[in-house]
Amino acid sequence: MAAQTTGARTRPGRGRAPDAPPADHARRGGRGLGARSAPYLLILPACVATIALLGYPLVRNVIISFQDLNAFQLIQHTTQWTGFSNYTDQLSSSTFWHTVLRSVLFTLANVALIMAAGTAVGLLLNRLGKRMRLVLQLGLVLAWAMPVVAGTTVYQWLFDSQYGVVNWFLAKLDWHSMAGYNWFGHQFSTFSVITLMIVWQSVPFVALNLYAGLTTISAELFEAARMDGAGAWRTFGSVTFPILKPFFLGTTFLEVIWVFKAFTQVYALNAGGPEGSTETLPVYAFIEGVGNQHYGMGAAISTLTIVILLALMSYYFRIMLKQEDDL
Amino acid sequence: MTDVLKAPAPASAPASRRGTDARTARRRAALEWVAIHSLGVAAALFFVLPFVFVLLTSLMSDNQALTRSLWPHPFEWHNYVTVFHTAGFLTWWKNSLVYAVSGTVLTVVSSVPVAYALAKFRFRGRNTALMLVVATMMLPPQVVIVPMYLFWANQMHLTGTLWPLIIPMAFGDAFTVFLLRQFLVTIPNEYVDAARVDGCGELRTLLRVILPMARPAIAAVALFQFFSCWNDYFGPQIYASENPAAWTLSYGLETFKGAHQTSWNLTMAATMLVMAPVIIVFFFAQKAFVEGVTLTGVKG
Repeated sequence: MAAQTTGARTRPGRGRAPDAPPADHARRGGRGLGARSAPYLLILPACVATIALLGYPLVRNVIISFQDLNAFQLIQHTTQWTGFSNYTDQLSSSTFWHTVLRSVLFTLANVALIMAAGTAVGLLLNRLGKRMRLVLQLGLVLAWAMPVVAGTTVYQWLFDSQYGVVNWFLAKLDWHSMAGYNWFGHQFSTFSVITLMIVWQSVPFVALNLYAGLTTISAELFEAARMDGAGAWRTFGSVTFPILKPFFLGTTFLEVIWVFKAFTQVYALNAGGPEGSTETLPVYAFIEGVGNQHYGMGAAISTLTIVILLALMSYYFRIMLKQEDDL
Repeated sequence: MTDVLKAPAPASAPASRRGTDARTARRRAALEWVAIHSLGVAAALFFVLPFVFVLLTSLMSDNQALTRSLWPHPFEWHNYVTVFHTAGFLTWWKNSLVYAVSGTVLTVVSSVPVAYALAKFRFRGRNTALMLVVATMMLPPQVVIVPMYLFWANQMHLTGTLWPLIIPMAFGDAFTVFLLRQFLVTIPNEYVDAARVDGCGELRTLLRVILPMARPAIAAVALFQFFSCWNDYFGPQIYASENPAAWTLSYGLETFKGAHQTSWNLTMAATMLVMAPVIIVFFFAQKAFVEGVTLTGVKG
């Protein structure tokens, strides 16, 4: 518990805000805080920490990416500059581009499935009777609360070739060739298990949120839509979706981030195997850099990953900035 | 899976109300009820079954865990005792608790001021700061791990402890800031202005006016943070793995799994013990959680 005694309070004050308006002679602390410098003081500790704990590693990462830094050089404490060769190596390797494509497709497929299933379950929650709704909510909460490592263990076991419930069940259904099927021996089947697990873990967040959002829409709107003879699809398209658009936008954004970043699931389930065929970008960067001790190469992959991520997210950035200006 | 996806389909039934025949309408309603509730059962099973399998397997004997039968006979409650007596299990538990509790407290305390500044002030650089928050959220921790590790190992000499995981929490967490800000934006500015007119300083406004109103959102992000610390696997793997005394449950579970390769019953009992606190916390706080998440998520 000693941990709690570290500088827990982020105290505004201490040092000057980076680009505080020059005209401002704000007093620090307590009552006299000038309203203009207050925001800078409030975000200052976080900014400093972000620069120290994120900016610095990022810069170092870029520097390392221009070096030929492997276990040998690390032990010898030698620095070998290689210019752009780590980058050209990656950009001209088919492994890298396959990994990029795989990551993007993996993210898209998972997010699409999560949003579709999550929306379906959310709408279902809204239509169920009280008791059944509670049961389903309970199930969602249990899936949501299961730690990722625990969930991974469970799915490894469910799909275990010898002792797994899934193969046993498939064999029961007279699909005997599945009796000893090795789910983790092939790219597509491994990805299927990972996807099933990620969807299973992520749907509760979307569904419970959507349901909570649905309860804020007044029943009269749905009634009116029904009076006008709108079916379920029309009601969803012209009432539910437009009203909850911020929810869908925000949730999709979060899911894209979460799925793209998903490391534990991919790594713990099958370590990117078989033979690296299920490595996504974060896993690839980690295995190449830390696992194979090609630190320079790993750093180059990391930098490229960040660039790709920023490109993928630029659309969302634009939307967000536009929203900010409207506030 | 497909059952879940099909969920909204039968909902198309209720629309036509013009049918004059009341009996047809009633029959239709009954059919719809059955259809929707079957889907509900299917969805509930889909989410709950893995958990049930874990529970049942965790109570099986060594021999039975390797067979196909699903119902434990006899119930081997002793599995849990065995897991508890595994060397280190209690230490892992304690470490996870220290990490999750201190991480949550530090994150919330340090993120609230940042979220408040980004939500309730207009200042030059705000958009940049917002972008920074979102960019930080997006960044997979794996991509900065090499320099980060070297920093904590060579400059701070803190690897093999929980400090590299806990210290950064004292400076705000991007996801927490983002969600809190989404919520704070929805609090009308009039409250803040009124407090200022009454002569409250910024800090007083934050503590006396904003915090009480933001309680559900704070509860939600605190729970989120607790879960993500408790479940964190990558962090402990990187910084704590070299020293077994600093292992957390999630990392310990992996090694436990490795050491008991075919003892699925013991692995599942360990899994249950890892999950238990999260589930207990979740059930006690579920209402606050869903409430807060709704407020932060929907009205953004």
